[in-house]
Amino acid sequence: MIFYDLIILFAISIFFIGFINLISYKKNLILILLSLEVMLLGINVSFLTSSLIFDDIEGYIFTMFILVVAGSEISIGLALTILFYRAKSVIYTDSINFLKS
Amino acid sequence: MILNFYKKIFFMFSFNVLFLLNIFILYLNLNLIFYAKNPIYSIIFLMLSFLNISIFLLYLGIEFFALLILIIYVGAISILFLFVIMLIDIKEVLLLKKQNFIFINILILCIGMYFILFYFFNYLNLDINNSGDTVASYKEWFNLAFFYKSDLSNLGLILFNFYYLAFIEAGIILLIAMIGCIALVIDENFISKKQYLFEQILTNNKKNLNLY
Repeated sequence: MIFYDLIILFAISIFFIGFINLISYKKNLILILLSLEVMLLGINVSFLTSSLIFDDIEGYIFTMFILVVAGSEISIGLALTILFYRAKSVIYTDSINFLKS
Repeated sequence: MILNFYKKIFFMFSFNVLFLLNIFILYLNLNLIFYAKNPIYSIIFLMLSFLNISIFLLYLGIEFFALLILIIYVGAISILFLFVIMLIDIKEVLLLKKQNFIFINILILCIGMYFILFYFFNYLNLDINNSGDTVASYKEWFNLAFFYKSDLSNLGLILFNFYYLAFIEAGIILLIAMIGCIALVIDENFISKKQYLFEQILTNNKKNLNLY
């Protein structure tokens, strides 16, 4: 293919969409987790295209492990949001002040 | 340099219009995740973006990961989000979404990143006559050209021969995550109407025999 670097550009743009929405919607816990997923998606696409560029299988293997880690991390994050909602009954990160005296 | 960029865009137009349409719809869905008021709508756009990514990967010829992304992301992770949003009452999302909608700045930032990466740090030498020194080096796996059936078969040949330990550790990570989620959310004070059958059926001689 002629335009590998444009595909990597697109993968980086997916990452930055997630990143900029992460830093602009810091107050909502569920949007933070959604933007984390979007960032991991962009990284996966960049690994796969780089495996096509360099004709190497390692890109495929690392994406599999990224998928494993993404799944487990999201499940734990959502369990923590459920616990937080039980304690405070809001999803507002500014009110995570359990350690405050 | 800039002429090369426009040549590439021209080639992209001549390659396949549906590929560009896929990219455009993917970009739209990704931005609409954070623009929708209802959190269920944002998850729907997330699922649609995963679908678009899988179609995008089909264009690149990576059919295994296209299907794997559908199974894992759409089938497991989006469903988790959906369950959590069902359990949680989100009303204040409407208040938080009155911020500025960032749509064009991301594109400008990505174009800036493109120029920074590929014109100042030119590590990708994609010429046919490879005349420059590249940073990346090649690894010598066993010759996969004899064994080629699909990308999945090659992945299995490498993953289970050279990276078997990492594969087992990935299983351990999933086990720990599963146990951790259940251990976090479980509530000891939950009153359940469970019956203990053995206690109901159990007798002893002091109940039944009366030796006066």
